Amino acid sequence: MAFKEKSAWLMLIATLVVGLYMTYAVVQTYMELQQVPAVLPVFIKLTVTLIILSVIGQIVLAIANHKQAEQKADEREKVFIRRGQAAAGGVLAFGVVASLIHFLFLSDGNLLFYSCLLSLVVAQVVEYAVQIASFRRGY
Amino acid sequence: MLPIGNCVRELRAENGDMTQGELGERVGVTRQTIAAIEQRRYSPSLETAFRIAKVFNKSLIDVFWFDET
Repeated sequence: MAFKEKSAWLMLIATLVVGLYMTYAVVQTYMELQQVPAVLPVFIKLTVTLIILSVIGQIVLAIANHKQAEQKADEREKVFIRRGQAAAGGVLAFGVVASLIHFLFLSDGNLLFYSCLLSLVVAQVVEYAVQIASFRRGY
Repeated sequence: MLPIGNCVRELRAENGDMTQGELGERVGVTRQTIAAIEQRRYSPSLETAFRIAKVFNKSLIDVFWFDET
C-alpha cells in the first residue's frame, strides 16, 4: 500500500471519529435542551482533537515508512488527490448553499454554523474516500 | 485497459530483473505507478515516459505505442 493511501486512511478515520463525535454531541444537546449548543467550545474541541489525532498518526506513519514518507506525491498520486479535492469541493458547495437556504427560513446562527461545519467534515470524508477508492482501483 | 501499450515489464526483465521499485526510484514515481503503467491502467506523462525510455537506452516509440485494440 502506498504511503499516500495509508495517509488517506488515517485522515479518513480521524475525520470520521471526530465528525461523528461532534454530530452526536450536538444532536444530544439539542434533544435535551431543544437548542443547539454554543459554537465555540465544540469548535475548539473538534479542531484540537483532529489536529492531535492527525499529527500523532502522521508521525507514527512516517516513522514506520520513513523512506516513502520523504517522497513527494508522484504524478499518478497527484491525480488521485486532485480528484478527491474536486469531489470535496462539490460536496462543500452543496452543503453550504443548503445551510444558507435553511438559515433564510430559521435564522438560527448556531445552526448555520454547525450545518457549514458538518458540510466541511462530510466534504473531507468524501475527499479521503475518493482518494482511497482511486488508490484501490489503481487509476 | 488504456490505449497506451508498453514493454516496460520485458525491458525490466532484460535489464537484470530490475524491480518496479528500482525503476520507479530512477524515474521519480512510486512502485505502484510503474505497476499501473505495465498493466495499462495508467498512462504516464510524456516526461515520465521519456525518463523510462532513457533508463533502458531506448527511444520513446520503442517503449510506448498507441494500441486501441
